[in-house]
Amino acid sequence: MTNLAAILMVLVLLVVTIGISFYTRRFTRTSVDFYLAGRKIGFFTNASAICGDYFSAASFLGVAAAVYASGLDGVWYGTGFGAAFVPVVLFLASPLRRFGEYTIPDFLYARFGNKDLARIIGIIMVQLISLFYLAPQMYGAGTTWQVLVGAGIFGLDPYTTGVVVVVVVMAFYVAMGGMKGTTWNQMIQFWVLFTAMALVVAGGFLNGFSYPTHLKEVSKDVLKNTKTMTVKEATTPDPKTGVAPIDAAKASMSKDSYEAALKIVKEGKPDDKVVLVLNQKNKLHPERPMKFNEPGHRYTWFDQFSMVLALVLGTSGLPHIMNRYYTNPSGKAARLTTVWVLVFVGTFYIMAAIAGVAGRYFLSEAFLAGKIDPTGIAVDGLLIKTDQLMPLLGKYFFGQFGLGYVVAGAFAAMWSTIGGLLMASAASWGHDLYEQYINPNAPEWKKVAVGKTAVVLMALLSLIIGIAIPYYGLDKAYPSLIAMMVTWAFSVSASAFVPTLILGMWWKRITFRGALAGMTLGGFGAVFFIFMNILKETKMVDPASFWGYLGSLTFPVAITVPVGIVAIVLVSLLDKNVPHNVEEIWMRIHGTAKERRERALGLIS
Amino acid sequence: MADRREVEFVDTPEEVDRAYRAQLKLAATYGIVFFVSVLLIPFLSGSAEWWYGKPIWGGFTLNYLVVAILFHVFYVILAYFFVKQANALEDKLLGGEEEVRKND
Repeated sequence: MTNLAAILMVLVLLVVTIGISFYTRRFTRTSVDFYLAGRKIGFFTNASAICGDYFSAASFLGVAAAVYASGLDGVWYGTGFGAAFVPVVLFLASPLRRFGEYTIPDFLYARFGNKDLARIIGIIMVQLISLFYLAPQMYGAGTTWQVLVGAGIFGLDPYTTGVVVVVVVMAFYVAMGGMKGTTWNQMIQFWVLFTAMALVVAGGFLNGFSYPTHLKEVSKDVLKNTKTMTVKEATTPDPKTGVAPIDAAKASMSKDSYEAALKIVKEGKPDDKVVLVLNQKNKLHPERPMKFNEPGHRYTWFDQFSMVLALVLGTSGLPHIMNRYYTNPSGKAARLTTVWVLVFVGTFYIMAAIAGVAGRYFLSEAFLAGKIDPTGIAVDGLLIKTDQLMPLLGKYFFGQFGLGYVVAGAFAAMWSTIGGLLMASAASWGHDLYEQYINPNAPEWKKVAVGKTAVVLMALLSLIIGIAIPYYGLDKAYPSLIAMMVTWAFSVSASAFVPTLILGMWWKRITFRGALAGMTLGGFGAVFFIFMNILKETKMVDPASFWGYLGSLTFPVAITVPVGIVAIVLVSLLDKNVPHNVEEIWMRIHGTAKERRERALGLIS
Repeated sequence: MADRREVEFVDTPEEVDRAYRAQLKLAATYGIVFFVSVLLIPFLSGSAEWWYGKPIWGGFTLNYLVVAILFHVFYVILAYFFVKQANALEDKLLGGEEEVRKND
């Protein structure tokens, strides 16, 4: 799908990004400028930048694709992302800003009696969360380049080229522009991806889309999806039903498509690939046929709860999101910023759900009517790779311009999130580690230089991870790898930080040992369950063994967050050793004198 | 001569404690409403056929309508009213002492 319009629009975005970074390099002379943009970002700009940080490829390409593939469960996934800023505004936005540090580890250190161990655990967790979040962005960069640009450079394959290009651009613009440049870039990138989503939705309505009517249309039959599998897999009977997929597909595929698939199965080798269209099963209500407008395609009942808890709680501990709250001028501005964020994310996910339904209807019709050549893209009107939904809809509604704009939106989503993650990770290495422990008396130029070096080193680590994912076969083990890995990052974040942050702001009796117990049990507990899940899915442990049983928990939050909360409360009550300066901390978090003074002096509005 | 504004802007521990308790009550109330609503959705999705299995408007089941549109509107409104009340509480409960000093 190599496309000149797409390449041109991505290049324009790239030039704007580099231009902004070049211009804002003058605003990175001190570490408060480099990491926090001087704490002078207004609420509208900050809300846009937070959304840029938040909307990754998983949101821009993945949510509409999830709706397309799963119907209501895909919508539920997007709703979890959208509602996630409510706990932020209720419990954290204003107190975190008023505490007035640089990073989450800084907060942990100062809140729990200036304990170095609290900061160090915080640094470890920030790096783990950043890596869990960077990994799917890198994979998204590689696959998006592979699908949408389709060509490699310097002898590299398209996937590796995508990873390398994104890492180089990111390292350059974050290191040069610091938080100010990153903020401006994220704001622009957010509006590019937001308007790209709006363009697709507008295309639907201009072509006669009616939400209730077309939802009814796509929900009238049993939900069908394509599945790519090897000939061996297609001919292996399901242990529960005793029916092989190729036999099951006879009832769900058109005659021509089925005969073509059957020919591959009969004549092909065991490892040859074949695409089947299969009726989908309902995991929530197995007795009911799976319909687009009913729940149960992706999640069991337990997962319906734990997935949404992972997203709703996890956002409050994401370092690249929460660090942005320190850039607000005041606690009130932090609250107002979050309301704008909620307006933007709510609108975005309403549109993403519409795009999913519109795609199911319009693309199917277009493939079957021959308006789009389905060769290699779709079988029986259904997409083989659902991540192609958004660009294909853009192209179908608005031609080459639509395709180009959506591709630019996809790259904007990846760049803005990776930029924020690199910034958060660099702040943790540079500010939390170097400035506090290695060279506390470093001059400003040196602190900034270390921050920039940290950005480049984290970018290189991301490059290695991006290349390692297909090398270790993780993309084969998880069909929806991007969505899955993002949810892992949310799970670690929710389990490691959220109970400690919320109780740290609102419960005076929390102690250092209590916080440590909560972060350790919750955070490392979540990491443990995720790794067991990876080992189980990559068949490194026997799924039927005890370890395989431990790995069956896809989203550990429903267990690890309560464990973290109980640990904090119990250990704190037994310990009773609250920090001696807790009253002073309370004045800082819940008082407003400093802000009133700054407002009177005209320093903030 | 000392800068008058430096002296005037203070919070007393009693004021901050009052504001903290009021804010905690407000945040907890909104938090309970939010989390009950969030958890009610999957609960009904797994248990109530009238919620997930009966179309009420074209293809919309109640479940689909709430998750795809209404819940987004609900949480934005919830956050807006929370912020309005939280800001008003702060203005009301903090800064009272400095008013007394200004009148001195």
